[in-house]
Amino acid sequence: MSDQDLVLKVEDLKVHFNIKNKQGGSEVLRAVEGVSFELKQGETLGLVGESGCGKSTTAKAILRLVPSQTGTARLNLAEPGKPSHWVDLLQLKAWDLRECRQSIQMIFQDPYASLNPRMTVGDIIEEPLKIYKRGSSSDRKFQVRSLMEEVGLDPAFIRRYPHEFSGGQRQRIGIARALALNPKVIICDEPVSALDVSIRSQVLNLLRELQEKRGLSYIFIAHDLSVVKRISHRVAVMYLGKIVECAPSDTIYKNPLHPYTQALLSAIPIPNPEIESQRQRIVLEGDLPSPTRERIGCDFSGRCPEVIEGRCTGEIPALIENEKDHSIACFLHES
Amino acid sequence: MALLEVQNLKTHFHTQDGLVRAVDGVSLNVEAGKTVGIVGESGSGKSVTNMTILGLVPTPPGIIDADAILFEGQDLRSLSKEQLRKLRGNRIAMVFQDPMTSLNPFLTIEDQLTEPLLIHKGQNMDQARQRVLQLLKEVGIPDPQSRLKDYPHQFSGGMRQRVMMAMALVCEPSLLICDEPTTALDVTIQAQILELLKRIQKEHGTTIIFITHDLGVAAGFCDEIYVMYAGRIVEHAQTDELFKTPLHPYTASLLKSVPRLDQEASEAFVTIQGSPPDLTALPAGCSFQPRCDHAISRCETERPTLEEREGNHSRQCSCFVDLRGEVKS
Amino acid sequence: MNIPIQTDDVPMRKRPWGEVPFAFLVNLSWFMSFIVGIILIPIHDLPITAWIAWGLWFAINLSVTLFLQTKRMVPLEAPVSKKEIQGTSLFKDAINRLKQNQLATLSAGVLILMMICCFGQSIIAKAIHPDIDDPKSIVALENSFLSIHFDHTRLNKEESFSPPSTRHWFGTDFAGRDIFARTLYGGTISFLVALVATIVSLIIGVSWGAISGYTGGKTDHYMMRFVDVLYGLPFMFLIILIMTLVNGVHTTASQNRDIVTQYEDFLAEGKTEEADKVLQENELTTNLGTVKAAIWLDNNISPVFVMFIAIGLVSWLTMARITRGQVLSLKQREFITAAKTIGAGNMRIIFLHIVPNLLGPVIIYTTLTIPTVMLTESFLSFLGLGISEPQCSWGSLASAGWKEINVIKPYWWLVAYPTLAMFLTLFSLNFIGDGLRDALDPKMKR
Repeated sequence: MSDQDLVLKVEDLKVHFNIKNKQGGSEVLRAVEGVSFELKQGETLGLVGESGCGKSTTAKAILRLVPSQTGTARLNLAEPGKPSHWVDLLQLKAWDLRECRQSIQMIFQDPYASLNPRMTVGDIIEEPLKIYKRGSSSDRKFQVRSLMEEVGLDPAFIRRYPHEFSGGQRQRIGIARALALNPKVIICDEPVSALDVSIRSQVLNLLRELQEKRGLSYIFIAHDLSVVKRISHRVAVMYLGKIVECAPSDTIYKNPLHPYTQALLSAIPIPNPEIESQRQRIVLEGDLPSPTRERIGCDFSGRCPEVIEGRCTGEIPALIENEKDHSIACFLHES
Repeated sequence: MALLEVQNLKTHFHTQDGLVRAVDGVSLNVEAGKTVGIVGESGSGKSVTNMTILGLVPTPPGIIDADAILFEGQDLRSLSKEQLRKLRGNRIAMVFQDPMTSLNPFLTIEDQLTEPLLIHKGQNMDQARQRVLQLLKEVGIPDPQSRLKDYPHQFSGGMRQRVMMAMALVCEPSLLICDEPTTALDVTIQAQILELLKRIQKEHGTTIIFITHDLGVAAGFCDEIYVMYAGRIVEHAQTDELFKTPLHPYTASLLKSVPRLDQEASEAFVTIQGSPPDLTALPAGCSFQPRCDHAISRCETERPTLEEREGNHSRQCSCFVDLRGEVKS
Repeated sequence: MNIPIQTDDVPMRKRPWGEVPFAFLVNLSWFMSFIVGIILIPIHDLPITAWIAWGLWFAINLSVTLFLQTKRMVPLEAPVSKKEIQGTSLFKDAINRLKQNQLATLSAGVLILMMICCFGQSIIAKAIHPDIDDPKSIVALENSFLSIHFDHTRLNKEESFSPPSTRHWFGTDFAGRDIFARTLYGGTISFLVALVATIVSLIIGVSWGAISGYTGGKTDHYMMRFVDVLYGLPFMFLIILIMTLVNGVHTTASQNRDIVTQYEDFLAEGKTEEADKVLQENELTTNLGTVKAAIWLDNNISPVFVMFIAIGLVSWLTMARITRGQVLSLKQREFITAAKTIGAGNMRIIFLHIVPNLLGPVIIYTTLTIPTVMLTESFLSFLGLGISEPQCSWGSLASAGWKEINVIKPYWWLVAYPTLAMFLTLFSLNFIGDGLRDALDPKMKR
């Protein structure tokens, strides 16, 4: 992958929070512990993991909504095909950061909470354009209408309020708002988890169409691997703040190497009773370890069915690219 | 004899926006020892059905009407509030979706778990405690002795759901109703809980009604499935039958559109057009008609009735299209 | 979007739109007829014609109500048309729901009616008696209808303490002043108290709470500790202290105003000896400066105004707490995070996103502070610390009347009517507050 094809490079991102523990002292919650990945132009990277793995925190850290400790998140502002122009989002000062926000936007999980209930749909979609002073008032109105059509909403409803729309339609409003500034990267934070099952594929379809039409790159965050696999080109699996495996989506399903990925895949139900009855489930024992404890050894070693005593409990495995485009952090697969 | 038999149940609510037909003519037949799944999206009426059976729906604003609601041969509607209360938690138990809100945050789990025993079985505290410890071990809570005095917030999500199950099982009910018990949990924890439920069913022979919107979970867990849409049952079949040959367009479309792990990443998404129904303004004919690919003119005006097909597979649809070839098995 | 079709077995039918305001007016008319009936009963020399008129009014109410009930309501068979393209904001939604709450709408109607009467009386009184606010103006005894019933300063010693009659609907007080006019005038003052004090507490409270809540951190901490400290102070004592001081200033000023004017006239004319003699006679030699200050204060600052401000300063604390709580929870909502991602600055977020979403609970709390404020004012007036003659408020009227009553002289009308007016107002405000709380309850529609 040449540098020019990449649109986002994240290296060694760490996010720590100081929290007060029950005894009254304070301890460090290591939400994200050294995450690195690359996002190619026009592709979707899926970020998968269970609750507490740090995927949402990673997204928020990239967007500077939470402070990060170390690491870089470099965004390529150049047009595709032109020489790269990288800026580190985590180091930008206030004005530059605001300007760069036009290139990287976010879609949220809860379609009910992510829209201001007291603003009309037109105002919500127009707001980014107003903030960055794009075009005259009538230009903006026209742009809002065309955005609404693009996401599949009837522009006649421009004066309606969010509570008058269904969940799927509200999510479309959120997508239109994210598209308003014509960004290069859109971070989708669980965009279909809160929607009814029958309309999830509508929204996923829309996202895919927009990607093809506009050349967008997505970071698709979800806990449902079935959804992530279908929309992503590559999938990164996270566990307790680190990426444990990263590979193209078909590879992740057909050839998962990390024991956690294998357990995760075996736990996901498939709507096919024959397959279900024949599956060998890897059922993990116990719960997720606390993210505040010191990291000694592999985080997964406490629950791993294939743990190597001594090695796995003593050293932290690094994320190494093992085969073609398949990275893994596990001592079982050291090349 | 069926353990639970419901015939033509209707639950309507008068609201500011009109009459909401939450449940509109639902009939269930649950045999003892089986796992029955009720699958539907939000607004399909699956939760309200169960609340009605248990008598938990307040009658203003609700209006309940049924031909029969029989549990172990007894008509639940003819029971007084006192008698219903004796049943709940004792012979019929329920596990809810959100363990955070269904456990009392102010009571220790010891208090909450021994409560059903003290009320229904008349045991004293020591006997109850013994039983509770045994049950906690059975549901897989490590070191239950030390955790008896803990409060719900001191448990993780998965552990809390196990405590809920222990509470449901404490009086050895013959019927266990689970309302989306794993929806709020992570996938690996969900697998643990489902394994636990399977084990419990095998060991105690409990009948389970499992309500969910996740077809995958239903495929792996249930023996037979009722599919609900807009307050009506649109299809009912044994699980294998249902997934192999769905006869109702809604079931077929749902199976096609749900993203599945075993599909190729590059496949196009199949969508169901339209949006979930507005329960205050249902169409005059079939409620699925606005979104159905196979709708004919009859579907707009006539409401289809539940008809049985071969192999105990019934569906509620007016069309004659053979959907056999449409779904990949 | 589907056009929903009503099925025909829906038992709830929608009322035709034009009926709703008509029904409201009928309800209001019923209510007023009862109140007027109560008021008419004590008037001993009421001519028969008045009772006949009232009876007619009552009968009309009755027949209209019966007619409305028996009139057939047209069931809605036609398909419900697509909703208007103009959406309904949450506010409009809330107003609609409020309108459906009949008790709240009725209370609002009653309140508005009372305010019209009170402010109307002030206007009429000012019109017929232009220098009504000057305590020294010579009042000619006029006998016009308006003057008798609406001039609250019209003195007539011969008519003092007369019970309710056709001449004075609510009776008269010790100076022959019409209680009806005084009650309405007192209403003006009471409503003004409510308004000013509430606005003061709103402005200070909401700003304080919003800034504190949004900024967070140490600023929030210290700002709220300040509020906590103030909470601990006994407010009644403070207000009583302030008002006693104000009263003291007023008394000093009124006692010595003429003397000081005399003194200054002498000085201006150069007659220093006479000036000093004036001072010596009135024992003002040492504290002339203080007295002059008191006079200046009294001239320029109305004690009523001070009372308004004092009450307002006391009630902003809870408003600040409520606002801060709302802002804290609003800060966490996802649409605020979304606003940050699209590049909105802090100012934009506070004024365009947070404040519009605050208004619900703030409005509700405001309708609940107004009764508290009115009662505080009436309590102060009762103690004699509030407003002074010839101005009056319901509280001062009640207190003055209370002092006059004893077993021999049961002048109940001095107390009853102002109290009734206050009771009606507070009652209505309570129902409106309840209704607003229900209507603005942010339950999502679906």
